[in-house]
Amino acid sequence: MANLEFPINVIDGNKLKISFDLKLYSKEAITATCYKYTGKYYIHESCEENTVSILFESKDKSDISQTVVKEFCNNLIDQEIRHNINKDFGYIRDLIVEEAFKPVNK
Amino acid sequence: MKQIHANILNIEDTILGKITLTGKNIFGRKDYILVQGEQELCPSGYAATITNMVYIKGNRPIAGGVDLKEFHEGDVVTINKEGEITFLYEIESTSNAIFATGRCNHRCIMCPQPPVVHEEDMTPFNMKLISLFDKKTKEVGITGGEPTLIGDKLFDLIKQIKKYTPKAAISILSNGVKFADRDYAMKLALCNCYDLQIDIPIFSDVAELHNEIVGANTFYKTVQGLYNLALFGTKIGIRVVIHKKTYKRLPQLADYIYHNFPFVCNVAFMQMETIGMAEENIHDLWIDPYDYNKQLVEAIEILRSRGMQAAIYNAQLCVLPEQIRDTAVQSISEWKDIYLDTCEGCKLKEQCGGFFASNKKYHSSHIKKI
Amino acid sequence: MKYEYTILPFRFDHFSNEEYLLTNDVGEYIFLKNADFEKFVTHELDSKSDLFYDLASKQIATTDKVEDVVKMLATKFRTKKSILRDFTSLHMVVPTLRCNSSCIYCQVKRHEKSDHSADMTKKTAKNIVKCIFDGPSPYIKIEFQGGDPSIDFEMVKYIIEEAEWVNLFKKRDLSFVICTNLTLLTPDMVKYLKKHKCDISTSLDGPKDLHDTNRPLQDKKLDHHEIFEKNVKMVRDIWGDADCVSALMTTSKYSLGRYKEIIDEYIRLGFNNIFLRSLNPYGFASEYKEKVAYPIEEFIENFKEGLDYIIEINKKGTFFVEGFAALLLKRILTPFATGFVDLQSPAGVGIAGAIYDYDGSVYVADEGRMLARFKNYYFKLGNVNENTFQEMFNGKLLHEIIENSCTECLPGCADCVFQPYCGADPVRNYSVQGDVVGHRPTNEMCIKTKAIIHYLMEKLHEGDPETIKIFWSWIK
Repeated sequence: MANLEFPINVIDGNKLKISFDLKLYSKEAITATCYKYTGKYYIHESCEENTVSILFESKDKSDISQTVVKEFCNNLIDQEIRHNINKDFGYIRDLIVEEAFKPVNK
Repeated sequence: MKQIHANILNIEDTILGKITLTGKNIFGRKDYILVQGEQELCPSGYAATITNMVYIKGNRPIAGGVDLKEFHEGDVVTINKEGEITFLYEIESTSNAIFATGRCNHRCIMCPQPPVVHEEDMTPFNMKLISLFDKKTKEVGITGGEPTLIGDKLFDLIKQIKKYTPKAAISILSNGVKFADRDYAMKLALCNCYDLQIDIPIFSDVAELHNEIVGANTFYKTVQGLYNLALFGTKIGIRVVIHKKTYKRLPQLADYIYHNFPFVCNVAFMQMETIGMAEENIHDLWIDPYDYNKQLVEAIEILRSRGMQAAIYNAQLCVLPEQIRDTAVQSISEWKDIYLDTCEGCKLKEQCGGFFASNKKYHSSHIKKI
Repeated sequence: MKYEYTILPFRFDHFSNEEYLLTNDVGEYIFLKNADFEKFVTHELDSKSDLFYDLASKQIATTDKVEDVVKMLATKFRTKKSILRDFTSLHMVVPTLRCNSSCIYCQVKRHEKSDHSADMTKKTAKNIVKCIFDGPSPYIKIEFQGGDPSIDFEMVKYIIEEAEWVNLFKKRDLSFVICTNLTLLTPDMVKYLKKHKCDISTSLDGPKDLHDTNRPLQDKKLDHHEIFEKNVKMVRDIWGDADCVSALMTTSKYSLGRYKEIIDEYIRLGFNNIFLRSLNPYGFASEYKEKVAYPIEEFIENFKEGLDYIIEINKKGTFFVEGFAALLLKRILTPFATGFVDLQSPAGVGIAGAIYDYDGSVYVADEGRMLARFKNYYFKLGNVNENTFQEMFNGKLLHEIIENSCTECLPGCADCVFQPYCGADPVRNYSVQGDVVGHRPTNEMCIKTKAIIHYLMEKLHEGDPETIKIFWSWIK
């Protein structure tokens, strides 16, 4: 199994590029995940057909480790679940707020 | 209700009257039933006379052959043509109640008093009954059946209670469904009874489980009822009967009540009375009260730590763990309260609630003298 | 197999390697094992299992009609947000900038005792009281800040009496509190405060050496801590009640590693609560920052230690509350609303509290006043001598700030599992990060608050019955 690796396109010291398939992940989930990394990295997203490419560059010029990529992938899955749940049931949140403030709106 | 049997004479229609031992002025006798010792003569004007003499005669309504010690000045009884004397109001009791109706919109699997389907309007009788209550009465209950099924007449009863027993605290036992109608909840509030509490059962924190127990799809109606009652500032208690289908989630239910109905004044956990439907369904329902102590303690602690009042009804102190004994209330009506032989000489007997007479057969196997 | 149920709005995150934490909009929470969580979100959790019932009980999922559950959630949501109903109730008033202290972390442009150039005029005071009572809140709390307001006690008295006079007609629930270092209070002043039900809030940073390091008096010959201790006793003796005076602590660099001593000092001086507060890092010239500030991670570690120590003290039988934990626990454990100007959603700035400077300028928050010191007037709502209540409190600026301070929709907050317990501080975001929205991944307040909530959650999850009991005793 040694040849199984995370699909990093390019890794170059303090820069790194990784791609995701838009058939698997939504644009919203990818951006939301990127946001969490904007503290330590400069991030650029680009899109070609069904592939989103993300370019990381560490702000302090330190090398980016594999772990960051792995964590990013896991975070993306969480974010995708949030996105899906919200897509299916987010309207309920609007219902709650509407119902809650009905007495004020009257 | 307490009932005793008598020999009767000249009684066709059921007679309702207030007991007097001392007698009344000739012009004020018609609502009274005179209780007298061994006197041949029945004074005129009374609704009836009750005596301890076995042989009774004359042409006035009379019931004889009873123990006069059973009667107190101010009790209210009915006497029917079968010779049954029923105590509808006992001056020395603190649990006098009006039976508003026998009908109900729930079919609880543990109902001690299965509902009737058809009945005559009981309100005129109840109005009369209330008018005979002693003015100093401290507590009057309204029960059923489901009292709200008599609709707005419920408020007539409440107003009548206020009029004749102005000092009484009123307690209503209802499933709360009818109060989902906001106007109805408002009408109750408009009765302006400061000392009125409505007690409503919630059997589970899961709608599906509650509905299964009450035999109707009404959980959210009851919830809405609770909200509406709270909106108008009515005092609310919650009641939970513990049996096999409710004991497991008592802690979760306690937390649920705190989160959703933090406005309730108290939460009462009640040991099941094994009569009526409860007896019929006993195999699905019976669990030794000792075996749900863990859940009960947890539920009580949850409520107490959150500053909510909790109480345990109908329980025996020896079965309860010491840490929650102080929440036990002596709640069983005097006329159906009993103790077992084992209880003789128990130090806690005085404070203990005892047993429903009907629970003689089904009671915890952990009853012991303390 | 797929089960039929509706997933209701909730937020989640990994809590540990084995578990997820789920919270709903009204703050109810549940922990789920990783495998159960995956089953749950893919509709493979048995809807008749106890676990599902637990989720249903907390209204994170349901098999019932959605409208029915929505109604209940809406009722709870309304309760949680009910603080909004009352509008601004905390009014901080600065009668003077004069002060006799020279605290190392002070951000106010304090004036010497004899310099009257930053004293409030009676005209301004009168207009401030008018403005306060023009607001709709049924509760009004006037908090005197400074400088040290006790230096211009005549002005404090004037405002108290003016407010009481106006309130004869307006009939609000009116209360006062004065923030002072206590050193200048005389028995007569205390008697006056007692008579007018003006609570006293003071500052205590710890044992003598630390307190005097953080909060030296300008007159170096005077012993701050000694006068403080003497006057705390004097205040309590006159009041006849130990709770009439409460104290706030601020953590400077010198306080780190000394929380146990600080807490012991609070207990020794008869206080039954403490608010372990980190430094507000903005408004400093950089040389100051180096002298008193520290990385937020160090504060977090100290806070945890301090909290553990306080729990131990409670276990040994002394009732003693940590205020920040108590606030958060109230949000986590109860269905009730908790106002806290610095941490609520929408933010409390302007709509829960406002500050009136000595010259009549009105800012949405104390930090807005600090920014004004550097000629940045972004958070100035107006001036009571020139503007009406409506112009200031219903103006475009406040609307804009509030719109951008609902954690329900802020980036990084909207899907944060702790969102229902947290809040936004747009003024701090602005002063530290340059705009009112802020940037969560680098936001110190976010890092701190999340770490502390996580720590409390760990304690709740561990479920030590004694600790839980103590927590409840704090929020009752």
